Amino acid sequence: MKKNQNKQLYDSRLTLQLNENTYKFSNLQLIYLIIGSPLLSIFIYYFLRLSLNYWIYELTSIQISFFLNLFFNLNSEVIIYADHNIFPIIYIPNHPFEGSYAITINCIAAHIFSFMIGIILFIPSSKESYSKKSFMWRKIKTLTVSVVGIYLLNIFRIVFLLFFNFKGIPFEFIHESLFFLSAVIGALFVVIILKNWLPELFISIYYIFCLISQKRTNE
Amino acid sequence: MSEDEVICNNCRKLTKKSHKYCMHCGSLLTPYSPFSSRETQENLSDPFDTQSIPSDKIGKFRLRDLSPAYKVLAFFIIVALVDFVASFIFMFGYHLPLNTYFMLFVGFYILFMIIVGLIWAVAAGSDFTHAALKGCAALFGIILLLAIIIIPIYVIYALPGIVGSFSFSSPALEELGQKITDAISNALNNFIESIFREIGNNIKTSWENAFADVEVPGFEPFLFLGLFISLSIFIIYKYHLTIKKNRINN
Repeated sequence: MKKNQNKQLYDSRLTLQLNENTYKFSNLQLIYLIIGSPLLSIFIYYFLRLSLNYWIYELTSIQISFFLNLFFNLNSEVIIYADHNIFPIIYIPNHPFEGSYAITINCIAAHIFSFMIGIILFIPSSKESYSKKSFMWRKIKTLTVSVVGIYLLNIFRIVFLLFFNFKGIPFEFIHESLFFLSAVIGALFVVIILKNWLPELFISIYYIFCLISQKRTNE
Repeated sequence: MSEDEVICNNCRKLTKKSHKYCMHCGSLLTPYSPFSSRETQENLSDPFDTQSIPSDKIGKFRLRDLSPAYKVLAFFIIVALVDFVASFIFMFGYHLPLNTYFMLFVGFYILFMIIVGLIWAVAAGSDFTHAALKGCAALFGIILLLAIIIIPIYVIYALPGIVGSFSFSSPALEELGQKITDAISNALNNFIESIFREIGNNIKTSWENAFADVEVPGFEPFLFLGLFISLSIFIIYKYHLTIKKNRINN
């Protein structure tokens, strides 16, 4: 009896139709998206700051140094400290300026990763058009491609930043210039991926607005 | 095909004439037409079909006819050009009169929003020239508004100095004039400075308090998030125009 009531209640929920696909989300999933994703993002950001994740900074620094030597032959080296409170440093000899750069939490784009993972993991699934399996597969695909893409973009941003700084362009200037470019490319990249593979994110946000407006008109 | 059968306009299969809806696809049966609405739409959506383009539009270059790949490419070229121009201006020694990243971020963001707005106007299929003109008009309006606000303030601010530069024949009058202009100047200076100091301090402290934990250098998070949110809003708005809402009652 109760099951039937629940089913009736679910069937009477708002349904959105887009390109022959039907979308219907449960309240709980929408609440998870609104509250869960910012909380998870903050949690991941602080988790990345823990000393047990020092390997990520090491890995990023080593890869940057590798690409600097591979493409530009700069003979750069990575200095890794035993004390994990000090970030790894990339040292470039014969540099016109200081020549040593610490790879901090912002350099590894921790904000962006935590934001993306937090959002993607909490995207609600529609119970109408797609199966759970296909939704999970799309989620994993989106998560992998966006994380790898942003990681590579960030690596090359730092590689070019260090190279141009080595060539005599002031750090502040080239840093601003490259952050603008990389942020634009990164944001577009993530949005395009989400729109193609997980449009449920945008549709669920629209769904929330529709529910709120419906409630207000009913009142 | 017998006499009691008709061709469905939607699925092109034979169905009984006596039926109101097609037996195969369920669409409403109408007299068969070789140019049904579906076919016409398919033909129109074919970018290489020049037959369906109205004769006055042939030979006319329209940005909205470009494929999305070209639009994205154009977008990146614009962004890269802006970036390179800014870079060269900086290289030749020009520095913005700013000591914080906040205004720099706001500037970049506004510039980017204008570019995105124009590109989006193309993607949405509206007339590019109109959209560009509207964007430029809006920008001009903002500049005009700022000029209307800033120029009178500047005039009031500089007026005592201008008055003070006038020479008087009598030393006593000159001294009196100087005192008056000094008094006005000081009063205005103090007034305007205190207002701006107050506003500036409030913005600065609230900004610093809000993001005290975040180092400004890095893969700029605010710009990324700002762009992400703006693009999401555009996508949601596009969905709003195309999505169908209904409530299924069983």
